[in-house]
Amino acid sequence: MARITLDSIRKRYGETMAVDGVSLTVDDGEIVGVLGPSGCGKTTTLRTVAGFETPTAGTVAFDGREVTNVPPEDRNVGLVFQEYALFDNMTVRENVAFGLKMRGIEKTARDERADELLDLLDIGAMADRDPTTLSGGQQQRVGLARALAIEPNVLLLDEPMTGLDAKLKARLREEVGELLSDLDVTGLYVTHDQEEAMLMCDRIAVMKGGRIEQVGTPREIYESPATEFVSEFVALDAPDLPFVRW
Amino acid sequence: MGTPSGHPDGTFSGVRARIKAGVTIVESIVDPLTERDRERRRVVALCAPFAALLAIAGAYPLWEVFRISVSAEQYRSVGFSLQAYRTLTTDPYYRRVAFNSLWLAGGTTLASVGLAVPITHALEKYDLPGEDVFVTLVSFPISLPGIVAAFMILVLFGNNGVLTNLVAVLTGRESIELAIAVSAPGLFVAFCYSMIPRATLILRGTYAEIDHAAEEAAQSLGATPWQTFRHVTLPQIRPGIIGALILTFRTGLAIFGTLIVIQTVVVWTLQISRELATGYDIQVAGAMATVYFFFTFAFTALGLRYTSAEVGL
Repeated sequence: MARITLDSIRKRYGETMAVDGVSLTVDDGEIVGVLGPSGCGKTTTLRTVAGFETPTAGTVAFDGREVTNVPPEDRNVGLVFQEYALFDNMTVRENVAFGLKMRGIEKTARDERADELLDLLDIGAMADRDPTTLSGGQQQRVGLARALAIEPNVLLLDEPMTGLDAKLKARLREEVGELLSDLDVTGLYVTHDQEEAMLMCDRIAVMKGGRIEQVGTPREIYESPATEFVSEFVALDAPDLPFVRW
Repeated sequence: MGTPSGHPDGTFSGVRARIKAGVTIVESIVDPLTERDRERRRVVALCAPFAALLAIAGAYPLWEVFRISVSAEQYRSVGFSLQAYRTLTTDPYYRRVAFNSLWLAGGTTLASVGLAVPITHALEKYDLPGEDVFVTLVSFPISLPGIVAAFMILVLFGNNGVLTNLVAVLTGRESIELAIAVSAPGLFVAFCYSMIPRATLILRGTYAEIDHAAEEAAQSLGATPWQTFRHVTLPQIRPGIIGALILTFRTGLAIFGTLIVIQTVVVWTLQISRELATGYDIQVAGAMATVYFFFTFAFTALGLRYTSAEVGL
């Protein structure tokens, strides 16, 4: 896993400044949540790290090596999408093994690795299934297994729990949180859900209008909000949250 | 003793039941009681004009054309003769015309769809400068009569064509040696010019439904743009490609206007015209039209039956 450094990232679309001078460091093995309302620039920031957006200004570096203009396929980044984005012309196993196939790894080895990850995520029995026949939670596990299969430098999660029902979300949050912690993954976790960010992330960057308002641990964000916006945005109904990662 | 359904009484009772069910449906349309009945009435009202058109302008003329094709006399639909069909199957000339139609339509279909895929990919996947102008240029030939398309090919590739003269100047050869407008390649280009926009139109609809997140997932997993296209995009656009192949092939078979100007390859439609205009062999023309209809219908029906193509009959 790698250390991610975003230095003064700006991204402009015509007259709109989507990301305005974002600087952020994610340490090796750390999960940083990017939290904010819709349109605050969090997904653009994530897409810039993935290589799908080239910043108007600023740099992105993995372990000190600048990757700002490196194409997405050469960044070794695992991406988990809100809408799963599974390949529905492939089985679950083929989905998970896809990245390894692109790296020229032979079929037996990649199937072994895929089965190992599917077992780890408790969906080993579904390896030969068509992913479209799985439930939302199961599909999201496949998406996570697929992203982890390539042993990425960095794992990017774009609102992965949105769309799941509350009960499943709670269970998945716990399981995925523990898994990411065990695997010592460096990750950027984009969400608009304050509770999810508090539970899943080591640190949180709260964004508003393309800028970072505050970066800190969930406790710092919750107990000492730097701005009125952060204070209002992270105000939760349940103050005694079980902050699982700290 | 037969089975109840096989027994004459059983058969009659089955027919009676079906008639009764039909009468009930008609009654429910005339005097609807449930929402399902009202829905049925709306469907009938919406489709009635087309059904009338289909009967008057489709089914009846087709039946008449078929009757002409099997008529025993030249100018009256009387008797029954398969002579016209025997001529089509035994005369090598008509077999060659059929072969010409198939290779020209097939070849231009493959070329047109082959060119439409990258055009659509560029239009749908990237923000192109002047995209609207490009889209208009690509779709423009749909609204052009084939005869005008052929005229444009003459202007470009004829003896005095712009491109012919340009190549002549560049190579130092005579323009008359280079002109391809009135030749099979010229006809091929003219057909493609008319067919590419149709293929592009279907493919653009298919591209609009692509899961872009899946493509990005593939790229992030290390797939190059070509590998992403091959493993993720292509399976998603396959129904559109098959639909485009079916539609453009049908278009290729139906083109006539272009052939009036560029008559270098005699194909089915041109030959029908010749049978009517110069040969006065109305039975053969009727047989050719009937064969054309059933071939196109069967081809499309089979295409839809065995593929997941996105095109209607």
